[in-house]
Amino acid sequence: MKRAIFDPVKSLRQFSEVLNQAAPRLEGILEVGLKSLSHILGFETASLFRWDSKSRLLQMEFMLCRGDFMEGEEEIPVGVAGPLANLVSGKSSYVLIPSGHPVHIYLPLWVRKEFFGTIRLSGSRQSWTARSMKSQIDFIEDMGRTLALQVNQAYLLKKYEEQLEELRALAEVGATVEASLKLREMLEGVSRSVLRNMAFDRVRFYLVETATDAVVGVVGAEIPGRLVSLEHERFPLHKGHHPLVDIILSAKPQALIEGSGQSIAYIPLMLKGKPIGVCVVDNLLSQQAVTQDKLDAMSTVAGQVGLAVANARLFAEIEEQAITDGLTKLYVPRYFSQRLQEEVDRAERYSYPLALVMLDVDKFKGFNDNYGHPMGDKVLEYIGQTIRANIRKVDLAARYGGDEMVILLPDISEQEAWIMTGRVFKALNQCVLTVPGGSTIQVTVSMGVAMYPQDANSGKGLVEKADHALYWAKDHGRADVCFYRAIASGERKDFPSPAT
Amino acid sequence: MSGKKSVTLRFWTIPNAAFATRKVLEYEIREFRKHNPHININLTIHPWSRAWDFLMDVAKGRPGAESPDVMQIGTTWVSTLAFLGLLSPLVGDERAFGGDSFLPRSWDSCRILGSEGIYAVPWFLDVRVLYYRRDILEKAGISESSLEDWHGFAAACKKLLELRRRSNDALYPLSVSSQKPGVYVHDLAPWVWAAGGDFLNPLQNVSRLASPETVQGLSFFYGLVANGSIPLLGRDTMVPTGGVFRGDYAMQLCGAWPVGSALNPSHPDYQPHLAKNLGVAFFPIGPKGRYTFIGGSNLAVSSKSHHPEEAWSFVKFLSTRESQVRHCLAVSALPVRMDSLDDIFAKHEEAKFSFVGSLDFARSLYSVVAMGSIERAFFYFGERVLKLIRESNFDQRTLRAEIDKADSEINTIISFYSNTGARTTP
Repeated sequence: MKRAIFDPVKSLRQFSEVLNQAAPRLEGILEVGLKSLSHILGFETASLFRWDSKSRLLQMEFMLCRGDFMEGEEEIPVGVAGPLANLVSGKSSYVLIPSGHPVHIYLPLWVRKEFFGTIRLSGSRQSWTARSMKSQIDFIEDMGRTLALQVNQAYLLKKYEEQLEELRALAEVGATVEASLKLREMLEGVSRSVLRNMAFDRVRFYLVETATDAVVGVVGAEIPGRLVSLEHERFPLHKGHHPLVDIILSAKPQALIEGSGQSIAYIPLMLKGKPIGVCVVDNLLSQQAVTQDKLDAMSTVAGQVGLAVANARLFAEIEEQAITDGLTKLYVPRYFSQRLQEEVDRAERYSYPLALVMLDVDKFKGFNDNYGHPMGDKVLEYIGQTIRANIRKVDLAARYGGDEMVILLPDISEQEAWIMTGRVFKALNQCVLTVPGGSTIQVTVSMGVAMYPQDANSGKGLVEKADHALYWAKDHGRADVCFYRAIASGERKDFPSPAT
Repeated sequence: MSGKKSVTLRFWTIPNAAFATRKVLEYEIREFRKHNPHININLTIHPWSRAWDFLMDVAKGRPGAESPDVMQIGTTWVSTLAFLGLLSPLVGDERAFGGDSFLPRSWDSCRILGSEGIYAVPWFLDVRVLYYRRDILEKAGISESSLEDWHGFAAACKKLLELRRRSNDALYPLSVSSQKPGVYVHDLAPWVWAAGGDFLNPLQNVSRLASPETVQGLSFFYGLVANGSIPLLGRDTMVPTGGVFRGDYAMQLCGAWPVGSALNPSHPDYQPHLAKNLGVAFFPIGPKGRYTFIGGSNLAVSSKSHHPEEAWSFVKFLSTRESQVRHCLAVSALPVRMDSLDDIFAKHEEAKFSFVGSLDFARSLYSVVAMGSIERAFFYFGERVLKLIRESNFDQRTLRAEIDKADSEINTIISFYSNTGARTTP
């Protein structure tokens, strides 16, 4: 079959059209461009080599053979002189190596005025002779330039998209930080935003907990968008315990983790020049490098987060103060009432019992009258401290009014409540205070206990029944613990007081 | 007309050993469509170097990233991609794919270690054996049986080196075939395992690179490189592809692809002289046994596919005996269907014996989620050791220093992956 007459102008137009129709992504342009270039010019193979300026190597990124990707890799060392060195430095606009087999022509690709790599077109000697390629070299250069221009644009577009992603992440992080004053909620939102917009595999937040001298995990997010709790991760804040701790203690700026193949980076969270935690991002699963651009963007995120953590902690402190009695450090009645009904509802839903304990200091009024209010306050402080030290984490204790305290014990049987109240009672009754004048007095308390659901099935009812039992104990000699069931059924004799 | 709604599936593959991937798969698609005319299939071939990044773009939901419906994936990719939620779990009995004829162990790479779900279907295997030139061995005074163990193998390499020094036209002793430059963990693995070593501990949460057994395996392998038995011909490239089959090497460690090319009379690369003189054997026995590496490719359906039923039916078709034989013959791979081996090795009984026998002691890498990153750390380690050799700085002390460095890097990766080191699997 007779080959059609080669029309350079028409071919160049076709080539430009194909490139324009290609997806605007760098990979798409390169793939379509190389396919089209080798097809129009009749080359068997077209390869893309990326330039590594450090090692002065041209590294094959991919190779197309008759339009299909082929497996194979190649590196071309480029010396300081020679045809390829001239191509890299911009002294040559192409390199033709016609003597080898196959015959190669190298066309340069420049991105932002920097040498990006080269396209190598390879064909047999016969096809070169037949097509008189040497005479068409200007045309080949034109096509190379057209492709290089498109590559440059695609590269810029890619950079622009990446920057847009980073900006979007920053905007979202800003909005998240503003929207939430709760620490965990805020970090969850930030983790999600960073993951979504910065295309990391994972993002994780760790904070320094000064009270326990530890670094504790808070929350993180990982592809495909899962939130993960890191609360089980806790490392003592001592050098050598974990790389994360060492990072925090060193207070170094953000960096890639050495030996991670550029896949892990850390960004310290700082406040007033002091490290308060660390954000760790990684691409360990996707094996993609964490770029310097992303690391820089993350340092801006970390700045916002550092401030937000401080605000959230301050807010939590204020919130805690608002619901905590200043003297006893127990909850205030309003907060207790709110939680009481929630706990009763939960107990009903999950069918577990709970106990409510009311207690007050025996003869507290006389104590205040005899020794003054500052001594009374000391007693209350001691009571609060002792209660907090002797109840479980899930229990809820509040100062109900004056010297009256209340303790809610969720998910507890009557027998367990009996043991528990006995323990609290004994601890409280060990209080011996030195009063003005040097003498000592012993403080005692009385306690009343009501059980859900047998004594009452509402919060209000439980308080009433426990109060009733408390007054029974006070009326019958004080310094005792009385369960409502014991007095209601007249079983007091068969229901020994845990105080004994 | 079947009356079924027409659908189009996106099928992503990777070029397989530079053979005619497109041609054979287009044929398979035509065959499939004879019975499923309503299913159109768009075939895309991604280069190995970029296929992973494309899948990661899909997993991360990057703008413009469209998911394939069916994809070819490397066996070591399955656990990570499944963990990322990119793979659709196989519902129902896996025996629907090939019945009992699949190599049972080939299903191991379709699971995440420690979990029951199956996320891919085995497609073809990559098992490494030793090819050698009988005529060259004879010239060097080496008996074929001496290749049986490490001791004899190392001695044979030395004799071949001596022969090369004496004679201008002699060949290099050994080629470790790789399509890519550098040393990969699967190049090292058979030597490490044969020395009783390993790369990770049984819980896969601590590196075992610095254990005495692993060091012994690595020393043996890099000793062959350092003494010139495996020559360094480029910056990172130890040998050009297919060394023994181009007539440059006396021995070569590689998979089944020469069976379909250099040893195949109907292939353009057929070399009758080599084919006549070529022997095939197992990997040599080390101090703690004989091992080879088993890998390959699997087929998976994307969890993002809008047509999972059609996608699985296409995977099922590619698992049929007829399709496996056609495809494996064309790309010169080892089929996962044991009932296809006779067709593949019709004229190569010796190769069949070595490949089938090797399956008994073949091991794969761990299905650990962070394995990809760990593999990359091994690769960098290999690069550094090759640099030592190239610059004549290689000895047991410098090798040990690089092993310790890589050991620390791998532990860093593991500790950052799981923090407590306890969760390298999901």
